[in-house]
Amino acid sequence: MGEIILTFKGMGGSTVPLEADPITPDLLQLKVRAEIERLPLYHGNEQLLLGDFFSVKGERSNQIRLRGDLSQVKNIGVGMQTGRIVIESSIGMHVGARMTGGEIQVHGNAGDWAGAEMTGGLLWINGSAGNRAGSAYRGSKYGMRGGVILIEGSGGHEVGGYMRRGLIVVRGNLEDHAGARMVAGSIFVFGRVGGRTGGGMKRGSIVCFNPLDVLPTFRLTSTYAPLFVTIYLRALRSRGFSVPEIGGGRFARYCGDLAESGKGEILVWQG
Amino acid sequence: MTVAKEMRVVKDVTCPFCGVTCDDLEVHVEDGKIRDVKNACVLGKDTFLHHLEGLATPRIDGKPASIEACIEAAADILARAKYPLIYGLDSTELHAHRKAIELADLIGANIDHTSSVCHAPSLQAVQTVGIPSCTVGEVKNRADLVIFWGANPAEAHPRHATRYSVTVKGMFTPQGRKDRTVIHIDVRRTPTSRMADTFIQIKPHSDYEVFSTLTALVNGHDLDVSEVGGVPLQEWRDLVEVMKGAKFGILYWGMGLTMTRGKYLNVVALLRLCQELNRFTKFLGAPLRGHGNVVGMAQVLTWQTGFPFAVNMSRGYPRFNPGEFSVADLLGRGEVDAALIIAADAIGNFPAKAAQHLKSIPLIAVDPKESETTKVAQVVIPAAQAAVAAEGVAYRMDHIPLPLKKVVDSPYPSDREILDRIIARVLAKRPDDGAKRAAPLPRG
Ligand code: SF4
Repeated sequence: MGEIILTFKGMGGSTVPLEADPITPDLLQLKVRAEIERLPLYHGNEQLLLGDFFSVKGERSNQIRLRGDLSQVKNIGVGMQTGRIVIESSIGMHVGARMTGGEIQVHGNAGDWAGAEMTGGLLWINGSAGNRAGSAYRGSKYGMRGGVILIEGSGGHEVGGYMRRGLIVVRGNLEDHAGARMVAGSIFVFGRVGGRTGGGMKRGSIVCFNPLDVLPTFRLTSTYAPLFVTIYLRALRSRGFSVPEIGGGRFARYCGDLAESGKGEILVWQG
Repeated sequence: MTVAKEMRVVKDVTCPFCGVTCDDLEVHVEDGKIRDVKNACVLGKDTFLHHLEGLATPRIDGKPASIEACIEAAADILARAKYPLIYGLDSTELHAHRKAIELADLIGANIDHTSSVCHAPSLQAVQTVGIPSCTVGEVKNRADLVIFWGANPAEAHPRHATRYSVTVKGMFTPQGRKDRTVIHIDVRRTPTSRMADTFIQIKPHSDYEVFSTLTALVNGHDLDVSEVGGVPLQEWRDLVEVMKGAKFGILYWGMGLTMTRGKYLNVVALLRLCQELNRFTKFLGAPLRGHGNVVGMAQVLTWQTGFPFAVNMSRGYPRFNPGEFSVADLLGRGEVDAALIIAADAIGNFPAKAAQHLKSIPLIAVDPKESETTKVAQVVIPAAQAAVAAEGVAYRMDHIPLPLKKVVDSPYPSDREILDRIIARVLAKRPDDGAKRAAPLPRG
């Protein structure tokens, strides 16, 4: 089975974002080229065709490759279940949101809500992610409920907010409120984190490899060498995501948030 | 020959200026002009006395035009736009809100209102964790502990204290001020501190930490720190005892929380504190809503679309996502391609980048008065000012609807009439009569 290559033709200078929900392997693997070109996309309040914005090569495949500057294109891979999308540039909002399986590779930056509320699969961003990656949409009870988000660059505010399960790994920095009100799941941050990390968390683990200002509602309970961190790091390396060697390092364990049930933890690497 | 002067006194007039929405004003009218206003504060008085100053005039591209022509030009712009924005709607009334939403639905627009840049984070916080709240009448009659946090009602809501929260006498607060403990917590002293028994000064951007700390203390936890927000922990312990000891506590918050670091999460932390306190006593929270009828637009938008602000209709059904469809973000990213600003001065209040984008696209301003927005708008449509020259309904900050009266006449149509006429013209320009989109929203 070959690949479907979609090359973005641009929007004729328009700054109105394009909503490209149908671009998922689940849908495209059932279609021949002419059908793919006739899939509806929304440009503002106008419904147009995929062929108006993308030139299409290949058909009937669950492997999709996207080319061109897609930073104004939203909703790629939303809700996808299987297959693989490779995006050769930066991508707009909601990439991989609500995905349940399959894999998305972004060779650039991703807009806000990358992998928001995803329940399975892998979203790998080579560049940076925006705000609320792996988080909940406004009004939802839970954010990410499974799957893995790997971010090689940095992330914005509230990354992993309301998270229920799954793993987020960030090689760079995060802004404020990482893991806001999270209920479970794990967040690893190798760079620096902003303020109020883990604010309102009920359970879950946030592992930080740099010092941070811990909220007053977290209490230091112990310093130890958690085995699960070593296992996670080994698993990441085996997938090709390079992480620093911490050989036998110890972590300070802060318990909180005591403003909530207080069963979450922030682990801070002590070297 | 002298013509007898017409003199009238209009009673029980509702003031449109701030969220206190006083409905006991007395307006004296002489020959169609407002001569005096009784019972109002300075801000309210000014609104009525200066209603004839700086009125806008109808024009297109800076040239005088008839209202008819302006409406036609506005409809032209909106019917053509792919990703238009309808914004403002604070200084107007319920029926104009409904018409604005109908228009947004018709043209597939983004619709947002002034809340988006003031108390939207409060709305989001309520959506996240809920809110124990009450009307101002409850506060007047029952509250024995009133806390103002990150707010300055003494200046922004002048009659809040005397009508609802501090000095007013109520059923179970017969001695008024004497029956209440008033606490002001803020990053600096303001006139509100003077009307409080206690003022607690905290470090800027530490509200979230303080709320979390108070909640942890309420829940019986001990903490490892000696101070939070620049205030010794013992002081917070004392405050928790005061809160738990109250018979009926209310925490009013302002934009000191919603527009600073943490935004809606500050309010989430505040609401969690109020909720936890209810294990000990009655304890409620409420935002001190500022300008005019901002609360009204959130009410109407919620009952019509299910969402309080930042709503997008471009796909024929309402979608809600602050950060994506909120006005500051839509303009900051330069996405919208036309805008209708109604009953608000967007350009005068927005950051430079957002204002710049507004100036670069076809812009329609509907406003009784000249503003920074009308100065640059391609189409300016003057309106009769709601609550002064047009009747309607406004919502008080505790979501109670109150009637707005028409006190004097205006040569211009009301906001709702202007919107209605634009809707009719947009429909007339549409070959398929709106069939392109999904079924319209239910009215009412
Ligand atoms: S307190 Fe507010 S509503 Fe009351 S008169 Fe003053 S400005 Fe008007």
